[in-house]
Amino acid sequence: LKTRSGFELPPAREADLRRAVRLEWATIAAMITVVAAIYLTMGGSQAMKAAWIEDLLSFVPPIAFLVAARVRNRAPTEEYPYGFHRAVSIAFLAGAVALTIFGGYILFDSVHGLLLREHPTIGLSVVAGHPVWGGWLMIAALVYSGIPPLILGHLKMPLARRLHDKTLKADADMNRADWLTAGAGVAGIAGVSLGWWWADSVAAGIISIDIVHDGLQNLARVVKDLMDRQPTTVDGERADEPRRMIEAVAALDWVRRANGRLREEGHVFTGELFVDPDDGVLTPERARQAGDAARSVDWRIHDIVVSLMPPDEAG
Amino acid sequence: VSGCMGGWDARVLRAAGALALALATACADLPRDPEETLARVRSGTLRVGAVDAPPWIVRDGARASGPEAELIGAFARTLGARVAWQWGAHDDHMRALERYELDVVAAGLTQKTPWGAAVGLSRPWLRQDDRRHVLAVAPGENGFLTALDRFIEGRPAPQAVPSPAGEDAGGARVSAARPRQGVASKTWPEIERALRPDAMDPR
Repeated sequence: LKTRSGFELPPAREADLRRAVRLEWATIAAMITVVAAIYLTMGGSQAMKAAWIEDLLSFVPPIAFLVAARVRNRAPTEEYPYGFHRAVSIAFLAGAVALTIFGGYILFDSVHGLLLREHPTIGLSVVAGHPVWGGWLMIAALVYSGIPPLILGHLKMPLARRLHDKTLKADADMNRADWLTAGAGVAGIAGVSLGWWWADSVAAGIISIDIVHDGLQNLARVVKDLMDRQPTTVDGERADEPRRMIEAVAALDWVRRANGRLREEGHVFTGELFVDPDDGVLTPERARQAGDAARSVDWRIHDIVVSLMPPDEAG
Repeated sequence: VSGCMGGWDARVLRAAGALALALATACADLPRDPEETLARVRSGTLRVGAVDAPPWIVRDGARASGPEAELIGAFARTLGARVAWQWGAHDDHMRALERYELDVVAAGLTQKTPWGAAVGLSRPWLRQDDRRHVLAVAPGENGFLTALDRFIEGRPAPQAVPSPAGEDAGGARVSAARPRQGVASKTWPEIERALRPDAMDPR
C-alpha cells in the first residue's frame, strides 16, 4: 500500500503547538487545585456539587488535546495509510460532547431545583478556629476557580485560530463556560445570602443555556467536519482555501481549467485536484507543479492527489 | 462568539464586581432567611419538633430533658424566645420542617442522617469518634442556621459523650471527643452540669 507522506508544521506553528501543549498542562495543574478548593468548601450545597462536576468535566478537552497532540503527527503506517490527522477531530468530538453534557447537567439541575423550590442550605464553617459563614468560603473558592480558566482561555483562543485546532477552540470555549459558571455561582450564592433562595438556580440556569448552545454548535460543527464537508475556520465560517487553491492551479500557464475539493482532517486540509492541461497531457513534472501550487496557498493544505479532469467535464 | 473580551463577557465581569462590592458593604446582617425564621423566633416562639430519643433527648411529660433539650433551651434564651415542644415521630417532624411548620428538630440526629439533603443540619454540638450529633433546621434558613451554629461553636462544648442508649448512664465513664482540648473523661452528671447554661464559664 502507498502511504501518505508525513506532515510537518511550519516552524512558527510548531512553536504555537508547543505553547498550546504547555497551556494545556497548565490547565490540568490549575484545575486540580480548583477541584480541590471546590470540594473542600462545597459542604452539602447542591449548586457547589454541580460546579464541582463541571470542573471535573473540564479535564476532558485538555486531555483530549494532549492525546491528539501526541498522535496527530505520527507518520502514516501500512495499517493507517491516511495518517492520524483525524485524531484531532475525534478529540474535538469528545470535547464538544463533554461541553454539551456539562451544560445539560447544569440546566437540568437548576430547573429541577426551581421546580422543587429547593432552598440551598449553607451553615457556618470553621476555618483555623474562626467561624465563617460557608457562603463566603464558597464565593472565595468560586472566584479562585474562575481565574485560571479566564486567563488560560484567553491565551488559548488566538493559538486555536493560528493552529486551526478545533479541540483547542473547544477547550477555550470550555474555559469560558467554566469562568462564566463560577461568576454565576458567585452571583447565586450572593443572592442566597440576601435570602433569595432561587438566585442560585436562576443564575446557573441562564449560564447553562449559553453553555448548551456552545456545546451543540461545536458538536454540529465536528460532526459535519467528520462528514467531509467544506473546510471551515475554527470560528465556523467557510474557509476560502478550496477556491484559492483552484485559482492558484488555474493560474499555471499549461492549465486550461482546474477544479478540486478539500476536506478537513483534523488541522490539515486534504483532497483532490483535477486539471485540464491545454495539450491534454499530465506529466509527472506538471503533477508536481500543480501540487506545489496548491500547497503554496496555505500550510494546512496537505496530500493533494492531482489527476486529469474527467473527459465529460474537460473543455 | 468572539474569543477576545467580547461585550457580554466584560459585562458579566463588571456585574460580578459590582455585586461583590455591594455585599462587602452590607454583609453585617447576612446571610438572611428566605422565610424569616430568625426574625420571627427572636422575642417569639421557637417551634421544636422533639422525638423521645434517650439519652440525647428525653420526654418528661410535656417538657424535655437531656443534652439536646438543654442546648435548645440555652439557644432560645440567647434569642429571648420561648420554646414550644412538639412531640411526635421522626419522619413527620422532618416533613413539617420541610414545610416550615417547625424551626428545629431534636431527635438524637447525627450528620449521617438520610434527611441531610432535604433539611438543614447544624454544626455538630457533640462529637464522639465518627458520630457527629446535630440538630435539624428548616431548609435554606441560613440566617437562623448560622445563628444556631455560632451559638454551638461559641459555647464551651460538652466534649464528653454520654453512654449510648440502653446502658446505665448514671455512673458510666465516657471518653473525650476532642482529647486535644484536654478533656480526659467525664461522668454523665459532669456532662449534665457542663451543659447547663449557668455552668458555661469559659475555662
